[in-house]
Amino acid sequence: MENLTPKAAAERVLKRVLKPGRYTGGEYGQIIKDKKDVRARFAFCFPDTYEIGMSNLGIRILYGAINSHPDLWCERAYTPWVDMEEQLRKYNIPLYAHESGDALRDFDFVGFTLQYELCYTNVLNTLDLAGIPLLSCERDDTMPIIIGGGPCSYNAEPIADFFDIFSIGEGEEALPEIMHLYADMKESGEYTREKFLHAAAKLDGFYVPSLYDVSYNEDGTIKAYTPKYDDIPTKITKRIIADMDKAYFPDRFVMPYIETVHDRIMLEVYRGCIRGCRFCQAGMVYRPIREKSVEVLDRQARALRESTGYDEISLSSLSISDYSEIDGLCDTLLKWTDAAKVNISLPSMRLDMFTKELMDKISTVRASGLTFAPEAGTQRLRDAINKNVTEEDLLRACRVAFEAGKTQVKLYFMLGLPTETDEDIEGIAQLAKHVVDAYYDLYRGVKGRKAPTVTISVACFIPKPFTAFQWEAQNTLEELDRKQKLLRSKINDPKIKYNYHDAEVSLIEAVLARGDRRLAPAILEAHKRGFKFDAWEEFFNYNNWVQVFADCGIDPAYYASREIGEDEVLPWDIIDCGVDKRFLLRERHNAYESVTNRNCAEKCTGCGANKLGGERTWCSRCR
Amino acid sequence: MVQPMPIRAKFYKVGSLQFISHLDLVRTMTRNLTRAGIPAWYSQGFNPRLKLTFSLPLSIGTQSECEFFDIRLVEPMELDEVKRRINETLTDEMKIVDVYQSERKFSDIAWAEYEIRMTSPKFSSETADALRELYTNPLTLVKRSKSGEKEVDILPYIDLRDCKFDGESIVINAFLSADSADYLNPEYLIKGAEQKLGITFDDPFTEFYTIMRREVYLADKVIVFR
Repeated sequence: MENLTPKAAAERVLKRVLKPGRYTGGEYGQIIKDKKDVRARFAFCFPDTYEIGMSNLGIRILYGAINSHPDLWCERAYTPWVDMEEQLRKYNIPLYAHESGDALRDFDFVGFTLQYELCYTNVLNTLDLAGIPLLSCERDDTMPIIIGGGPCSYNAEPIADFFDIFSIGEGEEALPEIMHLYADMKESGEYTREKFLHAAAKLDGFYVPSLYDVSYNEDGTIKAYTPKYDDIPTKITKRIIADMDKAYFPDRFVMPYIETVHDRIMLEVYRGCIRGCRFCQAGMVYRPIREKSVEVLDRQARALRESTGYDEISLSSLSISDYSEIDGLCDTLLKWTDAAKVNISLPSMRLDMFTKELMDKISTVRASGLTFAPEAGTQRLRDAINKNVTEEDLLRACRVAFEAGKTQVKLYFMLGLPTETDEDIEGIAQLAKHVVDAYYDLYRGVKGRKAPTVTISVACFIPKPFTAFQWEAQNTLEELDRKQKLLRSKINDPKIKYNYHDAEVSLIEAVLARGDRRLAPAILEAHKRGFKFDAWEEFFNYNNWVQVFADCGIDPAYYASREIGEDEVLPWDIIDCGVDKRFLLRERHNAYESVTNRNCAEKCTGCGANKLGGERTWCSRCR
Repeated sequence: MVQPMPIRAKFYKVGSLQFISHLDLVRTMTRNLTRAGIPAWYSQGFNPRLKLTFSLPLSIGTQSECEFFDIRLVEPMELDEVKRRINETLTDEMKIVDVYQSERKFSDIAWAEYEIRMTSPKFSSETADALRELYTNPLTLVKRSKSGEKEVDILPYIDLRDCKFDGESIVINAFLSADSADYLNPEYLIKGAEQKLGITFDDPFTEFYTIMRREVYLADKVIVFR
């Protein structure tokens, strides 16, 4: 047998699989370094397909941030699709990183970004394909350090047994720091996994789960987290980048040959969110808000346009219209983008900020429809979740869209929100009807007008860690089913289309989202039974999950549909995301009274995240 | 410039880029031309598109040293400058080798020359003899086309120039029809070897083949298309 790199071996089977361009690497903009010059190597894995992973802005930023250090090398890897997995397993080809083609198990670090809970089985399958033992305790000094980050790391307890380290918060500075620590220890000869993990646990923002013992009460709730050493923190505080203007941001991207999900320039405008929607995890864990200046954004946009040739710039943030200088930013960009045939897209637009002026500025959008997220059907429930939009806001935004010639409006809602009554559900149908009516109010008697389409897309509420609703019970499947049917029965206008999410998926997500370390054996068993790509409808199988939980002695209802006591120790109490638990509790009770709260731009609500610092933040303006 | 100036680029596409499909190549090249700042002509209309035409299709898994695309320049630019700029946007596995003006149309391409290398520990000079026999006699295979599948004798589309065993691999040099009506995908030669001679390419570590398109020709098989 020849001495092939795993990637070279894989290329021999690529004609047998779909979309072989997923596995070749070799894209323009990929970073190749000389191994001689490199002190530590990091393989960044996205536990889903190449097309999805390549669309992730976080990876693009961290890939560039690590590689900006000449002595560090970051490469990429993705979970192979099932046809490629079959080939890799058949010929014993270990999973490899795209740049060097070397096996993942030969790296110093293998990092996973954890964007959604349903990727957990893919994480295990990816490790397995790489020939890396799944459990942290089974890996020896020759194995890479397995590190996780991203949204799910705020409660990664269900997968804590599989990871050596979690990076909590923003990684631009943290990942190079831990890689340098590793390189120093390797070079001085003092490296052992044990010593390194202990040292890593002392760095800011790194959680080493194996160094914390968890004890439980008789009723099954958590008693305490106990550090194994005196010199490691009892709570891990999230890392942030203080000044977004000075933060690393890539001036070039790896350019995929095959079509990816978001094949465009993604320009991160700010981090955090001024809104305090009570169901939203992202709105809490990315606080405090930190903006970039218009000047820096314009410079970054121009550099990326030049280096990528993309003809679309998507302004990325949690709620773009809340950027304090949104008009100035659009005006500055439009000075050159029109002539360069570049479109600007504004996803995540709040409906109460959607104005004709803004719409005119981005009139190059070719889509025939717009999407808004009222989230709930009545003002009472919208107040309870602190959405802070009114029916009038929605109708006004829709009128602007209709007057501009749009005929399709998509509305996002949630079923099963805390305090929800049947009246709230009927309100969703009424709201959709009022949008249809608003269209005909504008165009009554006008001949040749197309009929409008109002699509209501209804997700199921999932209680998430670090939200005001983290203690809430999720509705049972029976209750969600009843509510979905009730809503359907209230929709009798063919111009209103009704889509709803699979409640069974939402239940499993809720279990994993609020789970603790006792779930690990079930996730391992799920992997052993071949679960993978659970985020894909064609692979997710609810009954199989229920069977795994039953066989492992886990009651899904304990995690999903149980109301958690306010004095209980939560699995994620080990993490400090900046937002105070007492603030979340206050917000929970405000929800019960349908009392709304101000947004950060209006008045500080005292969430506590300002203790983390930050520049160009609303917090400093009201401090 | 009153009239946009048509120009042609010749490029190679080898290594891992053999796995990039034609559609993906078109998308990528469009973006690269923008990135390179080439003053290329856009189709007019509500949704202007960069006008970019490629020569022969190249199937996934075939490398090539002789691919072509045509664009039109709306502003004057030195052709060497066009080449230099586009190459800056490309990786080592795909580079422009020449940019020039050409009178010939892509439909003038009639033949393509390929080098096919088949490797297996089971091969010997007898295998080369059997393959030579196979490709110089009537060879009936199921051929797929737009109108469906049918049995076709592919001999008229093959002009075998060389077939030898070099001690490790069988090296085949052949002209295959590249006429748009009678285009023969080189994979049919592999198919023929598998179906008629029982040659296998199962274990990717020991049994494998590579295909390289070397040059394209006019109908006389002598004049190189450019």
